[in-house]
Order: sequence, then C-alpha cells, then structure tokens
Amino acid sequence: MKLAMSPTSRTLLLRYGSAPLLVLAALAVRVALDPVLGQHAPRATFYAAVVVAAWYGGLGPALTTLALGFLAVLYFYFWPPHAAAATGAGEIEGVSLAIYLAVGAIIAVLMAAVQSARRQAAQRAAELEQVHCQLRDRLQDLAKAEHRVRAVVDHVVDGIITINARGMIESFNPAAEKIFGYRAEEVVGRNVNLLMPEPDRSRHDGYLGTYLRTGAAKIIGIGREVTGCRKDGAHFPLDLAVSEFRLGQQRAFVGIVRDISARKRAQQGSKFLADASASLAQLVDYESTLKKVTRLAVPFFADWCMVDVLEADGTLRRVAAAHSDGRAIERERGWSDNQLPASQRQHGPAAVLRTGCSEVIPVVTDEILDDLATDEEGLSLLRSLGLRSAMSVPLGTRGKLLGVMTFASAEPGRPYGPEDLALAEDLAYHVAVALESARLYAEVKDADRRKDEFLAMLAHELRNPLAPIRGGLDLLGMEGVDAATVGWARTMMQQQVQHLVRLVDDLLDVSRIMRGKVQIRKERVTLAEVLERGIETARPVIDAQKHQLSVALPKEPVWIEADPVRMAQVVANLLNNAAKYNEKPGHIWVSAENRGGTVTLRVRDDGIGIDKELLPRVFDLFTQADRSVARSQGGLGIGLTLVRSLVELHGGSVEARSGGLGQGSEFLVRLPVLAAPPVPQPAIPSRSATGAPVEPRHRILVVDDNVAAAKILSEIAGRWQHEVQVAYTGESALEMARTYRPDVFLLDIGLPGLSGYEVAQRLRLQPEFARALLVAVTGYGQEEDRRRSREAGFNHHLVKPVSPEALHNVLSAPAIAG
Amino acid sequence: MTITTEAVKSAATSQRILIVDDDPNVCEVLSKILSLRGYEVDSVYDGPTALELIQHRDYGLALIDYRMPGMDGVELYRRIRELRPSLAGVFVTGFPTIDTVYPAIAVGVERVIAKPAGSNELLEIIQEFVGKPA
Repeated sequence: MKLAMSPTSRTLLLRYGSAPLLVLAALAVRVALDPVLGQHAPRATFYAAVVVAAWYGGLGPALTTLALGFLAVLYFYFWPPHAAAATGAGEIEGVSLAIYLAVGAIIAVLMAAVQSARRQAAQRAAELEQVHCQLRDRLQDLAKAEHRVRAVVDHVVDGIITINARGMIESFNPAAEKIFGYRAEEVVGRNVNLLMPEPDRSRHDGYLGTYLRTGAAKIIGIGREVTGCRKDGAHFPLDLAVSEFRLGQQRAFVGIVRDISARKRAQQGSKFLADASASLAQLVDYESTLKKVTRLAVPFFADWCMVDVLEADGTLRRVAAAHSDGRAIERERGWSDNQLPASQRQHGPAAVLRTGCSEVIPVVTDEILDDLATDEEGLSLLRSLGLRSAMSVPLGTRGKLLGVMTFASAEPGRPYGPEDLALAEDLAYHVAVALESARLYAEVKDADRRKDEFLAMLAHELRNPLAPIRGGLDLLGMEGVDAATVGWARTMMQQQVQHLVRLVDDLLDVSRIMRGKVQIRKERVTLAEVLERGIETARPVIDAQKHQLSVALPKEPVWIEADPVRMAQVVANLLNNAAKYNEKPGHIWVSAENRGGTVTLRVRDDGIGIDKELLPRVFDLFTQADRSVARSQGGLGIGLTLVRSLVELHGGSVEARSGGLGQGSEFLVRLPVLAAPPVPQPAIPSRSATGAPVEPRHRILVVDDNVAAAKILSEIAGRWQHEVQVAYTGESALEMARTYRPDVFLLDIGLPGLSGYEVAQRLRLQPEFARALLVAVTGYGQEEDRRRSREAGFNHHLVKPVSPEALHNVLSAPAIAG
Repeated sequence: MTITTEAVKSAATSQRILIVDDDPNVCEVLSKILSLRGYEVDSVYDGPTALELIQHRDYGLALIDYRMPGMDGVELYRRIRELRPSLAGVFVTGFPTIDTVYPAIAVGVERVIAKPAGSNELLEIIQEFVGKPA
C-alpha cells in the first residue's frame, strides 16, 4: 500500500476535509453571535458555510457541509441539554430543520452549478484566447507572405498581368506599366487586347472564347514570342507566358511578359555587323559597298542611313543613302546641305565633321530640324519625314577623318541610346577601314595605271625622234642627194639626238632624285640670280610661243641658301610648263614676296589651266594633262615632279593653283630666306643690261666622267658667256683639244683611263697649251693633293663642290686675263 | 617584185603620195626620200589640212601618222574614205599594239607599219600600191 496520495485524492481530501472545518467555523461564528441572536436563526451561519463549500469544493463538499451543519445545529440548539432555552416548539423546529436542509441543498446545488459553469466559462475563455493567438500569428504570417509576394510582383522586371475569363485586365504590375507605357489604373478593367497590335487585337476575344469552350490553347501553358503594342503605338517583340488559375468558380489567367526588344536588337545588331563587315571586306568600288551597307542598316537599325565622305576641298559628298521608304529618296537632299561650311551647323554630319565626335539626338526637335535643313523647302521635306531620333558618327581611322555616317529613325518610342551608338561606332570603324583600304587600293591602281601610261608615253617620246633620224640616215645614203639636203639632214638629226639626250637626262634626273641620289650643293645666292638663270634656260621656249614674260621682284635682294643650278632648273621647269600649256601667245608673270622668313616665288600664266581633278596630283610622277598638248613641246611630264623634289630638298614647299580649265595656272615655291645679311660676296658677274658679256670670253674644255658634274660646270661657265665644250675621258679631252683649242681646261683628276694629272702633263708638253689655264677639279683638298696637281702643271686646284665664286675668281685671274 | 592588180589599178589613177604627220621633221625627211625616188609628194601636219588637200588633188596613197593632236589618224582616214573611197591608207605608228592596229584595220587601212620605218620597207609598200615612179 502506498502512503503517498495522488493529486486527485489530495484535492478530494482538501475539498471534503474543509467541510467539518467550515461547519466548526460556522458554529463558532454562530456561538459568537449568540449574545446578539440568541435562539434566532440558529442555522444562518451554516448557510454561509454551505455557500463557501459549494463555491470552492463543489456539490459534494457542500452537501457534506450541509449535513454536518445540520448535525451541529441539531446537537447544539435542539439537543435537550443544550436546548434549555428551547421551550416546546418541537414541531416548529422540525420544520425549520427541514427547511434548512432544503434551502442548504438548493444553495449547494445552485452554487455548485454556478461554480461549474464558471469553471467551464474560464476554460472556454482560455481556449478562445489560445485560438485568438493562433489566428493572430497566422494573420501576421499571411501579411508577411503577402508583402513578400507584392514586393516580388512590384519589383520583378517581367510584366505580370492578370485577366479574367472575359479578357478584362484585373491587375497590371509596375513592370508591365513600364513595358507598355500605361499606368495600371488606365488599363485595369479594360480588354487586354489593347496591348496587342492588329490583327491579334481583333482576334483575341474569339481566341479566348474558343479556349474557354474547347480548351484548345495557342499560348496558354505554352508561351512564345509575340508582338506587343505600347501606349504610344510602337510595336515591340516580347516573350509571353500565360497560365490559367481559378479564383473560386472564376477562371482567370496570368500573363508574364518580357520586353525582348533589346535582346532582339542586339541579335540583329550582331547579324547586321557581320553582314556589313562581310560586304565591306569585298574590295570592290567603295561607293557600291557603302550603298550596300546603308541598305543593310535599313529598316532594322534606321529608317534613313547616309554616308558622307570628306572631299579634298573640305566639303562632304553623299556617296550612299538608303531609306525605308523608297519614295523618300528625293527628300534626302533636304537633309543637311553639304556645301555649307561646317561651322554654321550645330547638328548633323557637318557638325560631327567639325568636332570629330559622335552625336546622338534622342529626340529630334524643331530647332534641330531648322539647323539641319538647307532652306525652307528642305525644312518642309525634313518635317514630312517624321524624324524622331538621329545619330551621326565620324568615319575615322588612324586619326584621319574620312567622312560621317548618319542614321535617323522615324520609329516612335525608340530613341537612339548608348547601345545604338556603340553599334553605330563599331560599324563606322569597319566602314572607315574599308574606305581607307579602298582609297589605298584605288591609289595603287591609279599609280599603276599612270605608270603604264607613262611607259607607253615614254616609248612614244623616245621613239618619235628616231623616225626622222632613221629617215635622215636613209636619205644620206641615197644617191643623188645634194649638199643642201645633206646639211639639212645632219642638222635635223643632231637636233633629234639632242632631244633624245634631253629626254633621257630628264628621266635619269628624276630617277636619281626619286632614289635620293642627288646632292644639293647649297650656297648663298640671291633669288634674282637664280631667276635669271632659270629664265635664260626657258627663254627659247617662251620666245618660240611668243609669250610675254613679266618679272616683279622685291627691291631688296632676297638671299637664299640654294644650289643655284638646281634652283634655276626649278624656275626653268615652271616657266617651260607655263609656256607649254598655253596654246596662244599669252602672258607669264613671275613675282616674289619676302615675308616672315619665307620667300614665295610665283609663276603665273593665262594658259589652259589645270583640271580640278588633276590639281591635287599635278606634282605626282607620271601625271600629265592632255598629252597631245604637251607633245607639241615634247617632254615626259616629269618636270613638276622634279620641281617638287628639288624644292623639298631645299627645305621648301610647292603649291599649284588653278581656277580650272581655261583659267590659267599659278605655281608657288616657298623657300626659307637667310635671316642674317650674308657675308660680303664677291661680285658675281652677270649679263649687263645690254646682254653683253662683262668678262673676256674663254674657250673652256670641261673634262669629267661624271656627266652631271660636267654639265653643271659647263652651265655655270656658259652662263658667263664663255664658250664651253665637254669631254668625258682624258683621251677624248686630248683629242678634242687639238681641234677646239681651248685656253682653259677644267680637269677632273679621277678620270678613267688617263688621270687628270696625266692629261695635264701631256697638255703641258704641247706648245699651244703651255700657257693654257689648267684647273684641277677634285674631291681631294689635302696639301699633298695640291702639291701633286702643281707638279703635274695645274695652275689652280679647286675642291668639289666648286662654287661659282671660286670658278669666277679663277677664270678672271690676271694670269690669263692678259 | 610582183605588182598586184590592186596596185596596177591604183597606179592607173595616181602616183601622188600624201604624208600626214604632226612632226615636221618626219614630213620633211620622207618627202625628200620619196622625191629623190621620183614620187610626187605633199606633206601636211594635221588632219583638216589633209582633208582639204584631197579634195583638190588626186592621190594614190596616204601615209598617215596614227597619233596626232586634234584629229587622230583613224578619224582622218575614216573621213578620207567618205570623200575618196579608193584612196589607200598606210598607217605609221610609234606603238603598234592591238589597241592601235585594230581601229586602223576597222576603218579600212591597208597596212600599219611601226615607227621608225626604214625607207626600203616604206618604198616597197609604196610600190605595191602606186607602182614604180613613172
């Protein structure tokens, strides 16, 4: 047997154990109230005990208390020893005791019922509280979940649109607002077909109905790429996924849309670039290539695409244009006037040309159209095109601006932005490279063509003199030829041979200059001196054509550092040209201007002028205008090439100007002027005003195996009106000396065969040359060299390059003057 | 040396020779050579003068330079044929290529010879067309 009691037993003991205690307490209170109550209400306090027992203990303890209370009352108030005071009222007492029992029982039952109800209520309340808490938690969870869903729906990049079974929009998330351009309140309650272009718009209701009736789905549960229609009317590609759900008995649909314009554009952009690059890679004529590229850009990338190429004169020339609307071709000319100086425009190709930076015009405004338009007519044309956005990018490669490419869009709601610009610049780079390649290719082809032409012309020019020479030889060999004819034939052939030699010399000259084999022997000379020499050389041609030559030079002498022979050649070539390219007797003006350390020499004529096309290439080798004109004067068309090369060797520059054919030409030669006044120069004799020589004339024999060197010396000496002949070897010099009898020998030392020393020694052995002036001309100037030349019989020893002054001093030395 | 029937026919008409070359030296030297051989020769330096001349004189052969400023040899001979269909033409060119020979043959030129032509070669051709000088 267990001594420990269960809680239930303990509660039971407590409940029932309290009954006697309550009765005792009630008895005690009643006894204490005796003085007040006496025999009245002997059971009053026991009711209270029953109430307390019923309240706290329930029905059992209450009845127990009632019973104990009855016994106590009975014992203390009605048991005879105690009921002394109770005088004969036994019946009454019995009734009251019965009442007590009945009332007590009723109280006990009522109280117990009340107590039970109270307990149940409390329990119920606790349960309710618990449910309430659970509900509250659940609601909070729901709110959180809803918040999360809302956040997703509101912030997701995909548009989420719900519609009911009738196709009416019920919700439209912010992404959908952004994609379609409508606010939610504008579309909720309206038919979803307003988001579609025709013909989907008209078909959608029927399609929805069919699905609801038959379950035949076209999109629902499938998803595909469709075309959407924005609020502004623009169509765009979108991915659409639709699924069905039920709200109670209602069928509804949710569509998730994603704007794929950017992706599509990127795909198309890549394809466009690839196609364009493939086209550009074909090295055909670049204009047709550019036309193809502009056509590729339309309509996907632009509604108008234009390419303007920078011309040599700084203007833009439209070489290609494509339009999404073929009828707009004639309107194209309204777009930017290429003839206007770039500085006058703020927008478009001309402005891009000026700044070298790309321009994006997201929205084309009226002000911009005003700026772009050529005139009122152009403006109205531009307006009619409905341009909305435009972009111009420079075509440049290796820091060189070649032109401008322009794109314009008339599509609503698709302004050009950074991505479009990146694509356009990418394309422009490809175009520029292709342009440059095409240009180089054309240049090479052109150079090749000119070379072929030159060779053909050269063959002609070299062969032409051969015809009369061959005829002349035949003539000389014929019987019955009279002396006059023989004389004529010989002179004619000599002239033809000289002409041939001149041509070959020119050819060799240009070849040597081109290969950098020409040495310029610079010295201080006056421009006037150089001019005089050049004019003298060209005089026969000028006079033959009966041209009038005017020369205007600054009063102060202009000193330059130049090779006088070469610079005279420059002047002569320019004058020859001026004379040659003038069919009628005309004018040639020569002038010079000294300004800012540079002298500008101008040779102007009123001849046939230079074609605009030819002008930029006029100094190029093998370039010649109408050969038939030049041919009347002979020549290989290399004169201007020589001019430019020689002037550049002197640190100068050349320029050709002409208003076009029939407008005459002007050639400018710019040379640096010597800043400081030159050191005193020996007076260089020149022809006097009367043209008579100022010095005694010598018969000079120049001996040098270097043809050019011999020519230079003979030209210098010849300029001073001396008689000059040339020999190229020592042997031929001795041979010529016998008949020509020169009084001056200019002898190169390093001759092939007989050296200069040997020639001098042999000459001195001949009495007629004992007093001749022998001048050694050599590259060696050491004392040992001078001694050797003295010993060989030379009077003077000049070191190459020989300056005109030195030569003049030698020729005018008193030793031979007398 | 055989004389063709064509040459006999030509010889029957005229033995006078016309030289057209813009190079005066060529005209001169050919004139002298042909004169020495007994032919009557006229020489002119350009096409228009040649066209004028053939309307006044009867020629048996025209020796024409191919390349001349203004009217070139081909154009000149084309016009000569319009005026004098029987006048034989011989071209002299410094650059006998397919480009120069073809147009010449197309206008009915009898021969194309290269510059510089030897006088023997030239005299043979001349004899072929106009016969030996009387």
